[in-house]
Amino acid sequence: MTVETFLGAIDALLTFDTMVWLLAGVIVGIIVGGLPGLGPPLGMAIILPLTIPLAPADAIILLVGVYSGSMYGGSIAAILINTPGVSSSAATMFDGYPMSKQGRAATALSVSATASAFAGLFTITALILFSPVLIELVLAVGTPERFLVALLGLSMITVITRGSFAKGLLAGAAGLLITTVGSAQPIALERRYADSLLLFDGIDFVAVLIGLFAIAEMMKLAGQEGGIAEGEVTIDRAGIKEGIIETVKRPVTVFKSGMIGMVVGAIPGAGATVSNFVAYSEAVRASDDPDSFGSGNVEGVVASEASNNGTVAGSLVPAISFGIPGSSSTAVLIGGLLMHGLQPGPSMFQVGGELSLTYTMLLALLVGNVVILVFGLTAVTRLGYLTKIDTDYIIPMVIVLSFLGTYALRVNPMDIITIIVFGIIGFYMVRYNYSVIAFVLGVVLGDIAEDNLYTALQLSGGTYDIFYNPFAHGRPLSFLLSVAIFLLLFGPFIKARVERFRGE
Amino acid sequence: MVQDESTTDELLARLRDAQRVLADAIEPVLRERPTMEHVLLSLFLVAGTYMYWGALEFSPAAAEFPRIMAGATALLSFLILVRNYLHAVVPVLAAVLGGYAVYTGALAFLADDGGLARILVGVGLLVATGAFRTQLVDGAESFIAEPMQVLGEDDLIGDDDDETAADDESVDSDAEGDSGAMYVYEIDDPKGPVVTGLLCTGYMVLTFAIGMLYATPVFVAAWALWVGMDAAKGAALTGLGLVCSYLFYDVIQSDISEGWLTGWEPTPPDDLYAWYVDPLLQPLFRVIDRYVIYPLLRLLTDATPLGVSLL
Amino acid sequence: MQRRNFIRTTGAVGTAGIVGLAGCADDEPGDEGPADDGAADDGATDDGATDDGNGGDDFPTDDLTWMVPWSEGGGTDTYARQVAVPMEEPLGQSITIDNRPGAGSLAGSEWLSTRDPDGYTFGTINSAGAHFTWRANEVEGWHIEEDFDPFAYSGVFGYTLIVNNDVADEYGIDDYGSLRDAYQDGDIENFGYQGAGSDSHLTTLLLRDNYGLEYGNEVPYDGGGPTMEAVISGEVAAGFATNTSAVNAEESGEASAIVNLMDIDLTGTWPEIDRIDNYGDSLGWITEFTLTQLAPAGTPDHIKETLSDAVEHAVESDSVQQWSEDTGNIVQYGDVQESEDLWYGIVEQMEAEVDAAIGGFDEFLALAQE
Repeated sequence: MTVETFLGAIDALLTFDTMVWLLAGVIVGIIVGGLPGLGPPLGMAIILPLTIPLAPADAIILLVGVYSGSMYGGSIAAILINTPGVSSSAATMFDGYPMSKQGRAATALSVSATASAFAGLFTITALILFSPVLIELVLAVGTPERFLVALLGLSMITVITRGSFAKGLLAGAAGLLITTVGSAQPIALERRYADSLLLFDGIDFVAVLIGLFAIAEMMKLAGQEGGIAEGEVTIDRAGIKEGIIETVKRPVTVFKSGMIGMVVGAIPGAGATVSNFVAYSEAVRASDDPDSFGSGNVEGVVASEASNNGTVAGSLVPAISFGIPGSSSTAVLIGGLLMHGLQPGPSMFQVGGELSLTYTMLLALLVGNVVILVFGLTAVTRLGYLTKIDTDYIIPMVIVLSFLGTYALRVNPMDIITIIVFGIIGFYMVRYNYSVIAFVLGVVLGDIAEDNLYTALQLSGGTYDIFYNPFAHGRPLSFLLSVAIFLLLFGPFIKARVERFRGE
Repeated sequence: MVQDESTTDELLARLRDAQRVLADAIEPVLRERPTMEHVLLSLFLVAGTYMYWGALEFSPAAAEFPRIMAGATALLSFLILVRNYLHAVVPVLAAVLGGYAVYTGALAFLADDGGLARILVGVGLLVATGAFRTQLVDGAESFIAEPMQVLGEDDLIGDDDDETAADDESVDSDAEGDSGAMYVYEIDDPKGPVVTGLLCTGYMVLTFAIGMLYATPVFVAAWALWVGMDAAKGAALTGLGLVCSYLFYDVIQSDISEGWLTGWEPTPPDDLYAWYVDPLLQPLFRVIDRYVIYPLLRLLTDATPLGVSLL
Repeated sequence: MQRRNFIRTTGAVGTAGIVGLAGCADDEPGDEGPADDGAADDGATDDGATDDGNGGDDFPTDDLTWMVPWSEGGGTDTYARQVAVPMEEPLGQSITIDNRPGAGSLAGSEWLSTRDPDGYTFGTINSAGAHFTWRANEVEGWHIEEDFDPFAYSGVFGYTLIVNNDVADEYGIDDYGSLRDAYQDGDIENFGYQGAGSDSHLTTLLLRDNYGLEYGNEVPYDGGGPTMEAVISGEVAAGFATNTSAVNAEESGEASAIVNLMDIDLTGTWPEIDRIDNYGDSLGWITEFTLTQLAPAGTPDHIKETLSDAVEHAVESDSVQQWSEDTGNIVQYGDVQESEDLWYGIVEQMEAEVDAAIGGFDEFLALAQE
């Protein structure tokens, strides 16, 4: 990192124009991300053509601002009305929405803003300082590693499931089963369970999420009186301050989750979708009181929100250095880079190349996080009032926005059917204590797991040793991941036996 | 929520009677009161079975994953459905599965030396059925029922299903509906979710018929009607719905004005305006232009040299 | 200072408002002008807002929709967004890009085939690639050639082979011959392609059977991105990449393009790149994709001409030429006749070639399902 270029980047950033674009981007992003069903990819896709007349630096800063803002914005809908804008917001729903129901929406929102901002700040700093290391990491992650990361995510089902284990496994298996619908690429030229072209690409998992969470929740709310918040809703400085304090009280969680978000988010193809679930699950696992998660434990919101912004930083690594998208949002970002004549690659990190632009972009993100903090703590927390409004008004609007937003995903009528079907299924799953989280994990990770498993087996010639034998194919990272999964699944079991053994 | 009770109540009373008769018939079979949970489980069972059979048509590589997942789904949902019969069902199931595993494993072994793992698993299951039956059933019960019991004495060899999990859960008499991952709630009005679900389904059907652009305000209006909202508030909400869908139509995707299944397209608002309202307003606009706007503009161009040609 | 600013701002806003209102009334008959006034929204419509497109040289009198069967940010989408801007000028109307991804461009294509042939909706489909996908998936209900009227093409891209730099350095691989030898000698084993049953899968088989590429292990990935990623990280020694992604791959410093599988000349970007037709027959029929602009079948000729001229104007504009130079995307204009010659007959040709090579499409599909 050259100091000169860095200072030059600061200079470029602190011009009026650039700051305006950044501000506009972040705020637009927050709004778009906050609308259920819309979310970052759509927001960025809409902005993309509008950036054509702009200078490359301004355009990229605008896009990146929208990206960052919308990742944060998605959490707002998740917390207030249990509706994910993107799958990554789902993890915030698990504890954020219960907090809203308890009348603590302001606290939840301010935790969201604070954790996001703090995690964003230090992950971007880390990115600026350590990008070469991260680039090496991206290169080291291959197909077997991606499968193991997906498997790691799936093993989280055992951590998260409360109640009947069979029910949790059933939910997970059913979720995975959903992903088998559609084209069997890259495995075979087959359309599984899909005679119509509309199902060719399978069932869209964001649509499943919207159905499972938004529609199901609206159905449930329709059976209850009053507003979303069951108790008193207080939107005042106390609530906001409480949120800030709760976050500050948990620096370890913020740091850990942010790092998980950044590292897992840097894994191309899978990371950005999975990272929040991994961070959330890790918080559950490491907690003294895992049962309290899912009913309004602040730590859950801290973990998923910190990870959310860490993912923004992490996902930029493969995007800028190789042009490889980790999610649909980064795909649009890369499109934006290309459209403005910028080539993802080492030149983005070279002094003679675009290093100054890259620094400006990262610094813009940094400032963007401050904007998120300020905007979040002042304006957004007021949105907590939404939880006071009688659900009679909220329910139809959320349903309408869900329908519209779902259709915007990929302009496929099947998606509308999906949200209704999974809305109804989700409602009854919650009612009878079937782990919706396990289902979600299955749906989100199924494709990643299956495709990468198949390809990995092709690579190894059919043997499974590619996953656990670091010497067979030279993949130390695979070995580490396998160990982690083993410990996760069997650790508590082994621990219990060891303790009992010692106790005798 | 204030609502028109009379007709819905009648209908619901009749439905409830029918439901009670059905439930009474089914109850002895299941040994517990049938609820929507059983409907849900049956759905999973049917879906799993259907997709398992469907997978038989796929090429081997493409079939593997769906078969495992469909099989697991069907098996687990079946086990949960018969949770009151586990002491009978589990050994039978384990024996059958064990036998099947040994059989297919042996075939595979004879064919190409594969299938060894399957044979081991199958043998393990058979042994467990024969020698360790009580432990097998106990394990299965703690696996399936809630709350979770503390880990039992013996390990069980065999497929994952019978492996008990290691996390403890304090025994809680009110097991159903109480879990850390989900919140408990009371439903004040059981009609609510059902009607909402029905309205949503209707919204979806209407979308396929006339397109989301107009289905949206219809849905909102229907909702407002059912919930018994004030006419004013209901109208405002419906208007809001229309505004949302119109903005979407304009900015994001214009084909929501068409019904996907039917191809019908009720005229979108902008066309309505252009064809019917605008011609009426044109004369008015012309008058305003000639006598107000253009003179003003001329005044401006005279007063400040903008250098812009306005006409 | 403040007061002057205030007046200036108010004046500007006021003037803008007035000028805006001035457009509200229809212009006097005989003037040119948009048919829809400034007060109404002008949403992009699928069918023309006014009467049908027959007769009159007034086309276009309303906004146009350009369908791109891939999602935002992708290669074809970027092409379209670049070309759309200068294309609006000769047409005098705005063009909205409508992304309809799905089923490997088949979803959007199917949608386009059902639109009215009035010239207000057209789309870009990539020849050869779409033909292949359409044929391989045995699509029923519409035909990739018969249901469309091509009126222009605007660019070309296609496959190259890229190799991982570390591997290339170690075994001295810098052209197709040395790549082939390295596989034959067992120095390297893995070769990446873009999905079972895809055009790159077929090409992979052809490379083995007809060009001697004896990879030990052909590994399928879910599309171009993951394939390129695999080569960059060294998971596979070599694999497919389009010429435009190959530029990106090279920029990463981890991979290089060593073989041009198309017929189009790439020496502008890579002066010394090897060509596959130095080792046998041309593969262009399956490796070269032309961005073709198509309207639904039955579009009147004069409308096609108008649209085609607009494409020509756009392709030759400075902005597009500059972008082409900057990014390595090849832009090339073909008129109505040339695009028709290109577009029609591809399915037949493919069937013949696949017959000769492997014994028929069904053979290939069976192979793809193993």
